[in-house]
Amino acid sequence: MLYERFKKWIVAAELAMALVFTPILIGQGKKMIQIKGSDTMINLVQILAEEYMGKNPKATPIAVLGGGSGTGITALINGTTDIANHSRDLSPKETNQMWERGVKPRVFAIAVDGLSIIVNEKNPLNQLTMDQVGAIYRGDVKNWQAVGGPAQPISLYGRQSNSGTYAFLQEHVLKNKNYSPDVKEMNGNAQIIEGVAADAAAIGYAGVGYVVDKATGKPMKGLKILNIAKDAKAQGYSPTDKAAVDSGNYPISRALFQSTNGKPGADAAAFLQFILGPEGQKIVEREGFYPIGAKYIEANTKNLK
Amino acid sequence: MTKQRLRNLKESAAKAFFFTNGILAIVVLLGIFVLLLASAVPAFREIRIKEFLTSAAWDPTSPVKAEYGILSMIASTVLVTVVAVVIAFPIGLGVAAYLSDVAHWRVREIVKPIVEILAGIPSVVVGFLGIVLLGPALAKLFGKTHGLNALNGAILLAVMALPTIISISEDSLNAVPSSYSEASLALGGSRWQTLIRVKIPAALSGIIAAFMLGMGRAIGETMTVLMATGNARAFPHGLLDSVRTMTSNIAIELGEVPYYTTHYYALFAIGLVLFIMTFGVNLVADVVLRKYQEREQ
Amino acid sequence: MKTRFLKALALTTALATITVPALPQTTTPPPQTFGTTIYLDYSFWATKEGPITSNALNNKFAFRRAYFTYENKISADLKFRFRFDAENARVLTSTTGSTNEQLKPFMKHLYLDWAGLLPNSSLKIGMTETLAFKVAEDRWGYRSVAKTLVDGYKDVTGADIRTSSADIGINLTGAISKELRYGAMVMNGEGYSRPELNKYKKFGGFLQFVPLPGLNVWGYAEYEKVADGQNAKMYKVDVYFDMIPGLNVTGEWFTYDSDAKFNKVANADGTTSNAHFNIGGFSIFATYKITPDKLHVFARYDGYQPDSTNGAKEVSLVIAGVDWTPFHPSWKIQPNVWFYSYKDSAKKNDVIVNITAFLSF
Repeated sequence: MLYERFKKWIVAAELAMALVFTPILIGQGKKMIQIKGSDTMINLVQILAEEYMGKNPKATPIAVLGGGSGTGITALINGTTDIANHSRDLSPKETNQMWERGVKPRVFAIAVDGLSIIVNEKNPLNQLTMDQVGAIYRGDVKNWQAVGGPAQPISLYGRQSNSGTYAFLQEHVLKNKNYSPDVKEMNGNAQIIEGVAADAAAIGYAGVGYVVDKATGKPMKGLKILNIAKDAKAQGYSPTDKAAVDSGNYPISRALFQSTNGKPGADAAAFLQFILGPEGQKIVEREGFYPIGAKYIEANTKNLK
Repeated sequence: MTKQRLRNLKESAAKAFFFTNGILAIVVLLGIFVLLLASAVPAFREIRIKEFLTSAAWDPTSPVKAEYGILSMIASTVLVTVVAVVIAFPIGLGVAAYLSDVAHWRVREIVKPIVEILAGIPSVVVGFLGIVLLGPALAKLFGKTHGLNALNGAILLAVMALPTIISISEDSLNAVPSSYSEASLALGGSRWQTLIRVKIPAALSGIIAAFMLGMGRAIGETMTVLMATGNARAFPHGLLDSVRTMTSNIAIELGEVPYYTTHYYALFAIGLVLFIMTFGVNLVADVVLRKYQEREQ
Repeated sequence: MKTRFLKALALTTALATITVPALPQTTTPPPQTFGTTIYLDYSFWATKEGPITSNALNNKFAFRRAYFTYENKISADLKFRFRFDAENARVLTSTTGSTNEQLKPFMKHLYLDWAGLLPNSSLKIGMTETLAFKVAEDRWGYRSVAKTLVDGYKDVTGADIRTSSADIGINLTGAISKELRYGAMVMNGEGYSRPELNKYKKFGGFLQFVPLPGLNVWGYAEYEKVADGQNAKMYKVDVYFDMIPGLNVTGEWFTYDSDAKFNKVANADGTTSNAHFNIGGFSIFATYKITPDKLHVFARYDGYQPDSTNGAKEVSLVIAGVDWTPFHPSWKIQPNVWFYSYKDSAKKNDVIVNITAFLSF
């Protein structure tokens, strides 16, 4: 009864909106897989996306953006991204928010980021604890004698502040304190390795892919890779021990994650399967990260179902 | 138009063209200064000037507290530059004097082009030689474990500044009118006395210009020091310490710094300090030069 | 020589004055943010006979709201906010006009937010948002188009229920687990438009259950003494359904029970007595993101009951509209239609069409 009079108006309004918005909606057309988040992971994921699109020219194109782990997770909650990259776990606040908004995240570990601590092969030490490495790089410990080595001042080698490796070590090992001002800040992994190989009192850090000779699997000439123990009582593990890195026994490592809202759609799932499969993991290794091990593989397969 | 008016027009057009080009140099210089100033001043809204110039701690990305003190970098730049000039100047002047006065013309024909080639070696290559050749040599010589320090950088900078100093000093020594040296020899002076007491003072303006250009090359050199000095942020306590100069710091950090943050403006502020230092050096040289010219007259 | 020098100086000064303004402007360092939000409307009446639409004014431009917000993140746990608001009084439904109704700015929020008291909590002190309808407003998201049920109630019905969106006091909100949230507040009770004139404060609290991801049940109660022996209570229950991606459906229901609300009723013996009445209403709305951050649609149905003893005063309101972001997230266009219908058959329906612009930077 009420609507008879206003049928004209309502119909007119609906028609107008349809006329205006249909072309816009059709124009929305070309869909892309949106991936947003961690700046640590952006290069790796961009290369993975490029190789995937190269192998599958008919697949939906992929757009990868940075902004930080927090930005990616927020975008996942708001529905403005299909996959969120994050190099840290979800915070309780984010988990609460997701629960409230009906977002059920499925988290996939796609790579493991780890650092090896290297010294010159003439250095008699074989193992250090996390605390000792932190103290050395903070400048609290200045002589090898204090950690069980020869009486010689420690010669520190590191990266520059624009490096993700620099930031990773600062967060995980230095516990967000300042680096010692005596660290020689080299321009890249190769320079650190050269420096440590030539300097008997040196200590340096680099991704394990750079310090191991690909052909023999042994450390590169002139280097010794230290075992690192979580604390004074724990056992030390080598970063070349894939099982130790995967299980978290090797302390200087973290997993890199991609999350989707619920079960990933067909396009996203295909890309994820590429990353988690042998081709993707080969690219992961090539870019200086560790491939994922058994523990994560099992969880990932479950999440893909 | 009459032929005369057309000629006048062409004359004034040519005059204007050359005038504009001449002004261009000043405009560019002033423009650079203005840009540097405008990009550096916002840094001082956050950083106190006293802290900037007197604090030895530079750590803008620190998770604890961002520090913006450039004293260590100024000291490093000064150390490396002064030592480089101290090494390069006597050698350079000596080679120039040898080439202009003592050497046989055939020797000159060979050595001069070689010196010019030395000038053309890219700074990256020189830096590479510093890491691979000079570093281990210095380490062995001084009994240290590595050779990436201020001395390494200074020697490399001396090598890079030498061709400039040699070329210009030699040219200015040659430009001294032969009547001066002939008069000195005629009055009984030895060749050594002629060189030291007559030729060099007469060519002093050119020699000082060479000195300035060499020093300018040393202050502004980025790639070589970036590779060979170790880039440690600590205040240098000696020639065998790893140092970080202002130029290498800007090169290291400007690529990844987020735009328009305090860190970004602080890097431009360092550039401004560098600019002022070079400007100051040139000003001093100019004053000295003028004084010497007046004295001569 | 001198003129030439002067010419050169003039040229370089000119160049400098052109280039300097083009150089990068400073941005304030991240912890401080400034924001402005403006809701601008063009409305026109589509009917001529309803209580709102039956006057000569039948179309106008109006600012529904203009906000200026300054936030400062002092440390990881401590945040400060200051917000200025400006509006014409009773924008859409007011029909009187005096010369003193300029768009006036007033203080809306001025508070300190401390997250360190309990884990996963936030303690706000100062003039802050109240708890009564904040969650519902966030879910609705179209404050630019209309206020939610409880906030806009007095605009539509003229019945004052003394619940405001901001007030001076202290409130604490937090989460005990991912399934349970809580909130408690103590406020003056007068809102941001009136000074506190009595000794009675308003107490309120809510509990939010999230039994399943995307299903929220929110219950709120509020109590304030209005005078000796008289008190006012409000109860509100909301249900939010977010289980389908992109779709949010919300149902709100509230009732306001104040001893100060009564009608004078004539008795059979000629005396008058007070007949107490309640005020209440409910609302159901849904928003759907067709293309997230580009095109959304929304629709809402409200039922108001300004007087529980008099059914004829009931009003119902239907709102439907589209939210389109053509280019940049800082401006959106939201055409919407409001459709009022009254239980009282003497009042005809009102239909108002608005084109709302949402600007934020």
